[in-house]
Amino acid sequence: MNKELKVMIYTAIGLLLILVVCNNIIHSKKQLYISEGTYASQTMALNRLRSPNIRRPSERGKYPSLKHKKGIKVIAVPQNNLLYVLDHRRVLYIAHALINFTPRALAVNDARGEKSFHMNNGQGSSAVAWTSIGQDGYLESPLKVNQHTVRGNWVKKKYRILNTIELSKKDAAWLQKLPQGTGIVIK
Amino acid sequence: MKGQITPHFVKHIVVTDIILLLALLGYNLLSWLIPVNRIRLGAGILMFVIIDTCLVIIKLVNNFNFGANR
Repeated sequence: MNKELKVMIYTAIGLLLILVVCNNIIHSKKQLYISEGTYASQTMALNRLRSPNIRRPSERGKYPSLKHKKGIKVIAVPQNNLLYVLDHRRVLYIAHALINFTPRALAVNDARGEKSFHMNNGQGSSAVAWTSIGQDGYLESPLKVNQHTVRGNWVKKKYRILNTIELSKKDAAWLQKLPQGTGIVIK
Repeated sequence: MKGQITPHFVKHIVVTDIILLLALLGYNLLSWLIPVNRIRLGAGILMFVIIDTCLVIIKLVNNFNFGANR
């Protein structure tokens, strides 16, 4: 191999290693990490995370199984529009979510269903794959708001349907499998 | 400067970039198995720009002659 090319490759790989380490340090300082979950499991879940779209899951790959897991809890962070599903301290899944709650602790109820309709603040909205949480809250996927179909990245939309956590259709359908009594913490 | 940036050197840059691209793809595959942050498209492009700029600067400054006998 040409001597110049050899030196160039070594130099470039050295620089790449430095930049990769910098990238990891910058990411670890981001506000996407929560103290309740381990760093490793959160990093793995964040690697699988893709851009929000109402029609597809928030993460690449298969949904993790929720069966036989006794330490499941859900943490919602409205600042990041993210919903973390944890088993003890291990983050199983991170979902994009529009969180319309003030900070509080809730629990998943037994009631769940296919379609729902809300009227509040003069806004009418319909949703699918709903799960009842707390006294009058819902985990659901928005279908229409004021007769307008919700498309694409719903997280950045400006509407607010009170006491709801709005997820993509597939995420909402998967979260219907959460056992009754699962704790949800809104930060 | 024109004398330093020859077509031969540009070819070397392209070869280096291809090797780096393969290294980055390998790293991103590894990120599915071990907890390291995946390099996303924007960050990847930025890294390539920085590395290529550094290579051109080194070529212009000392023509890749490192060591005591340069």
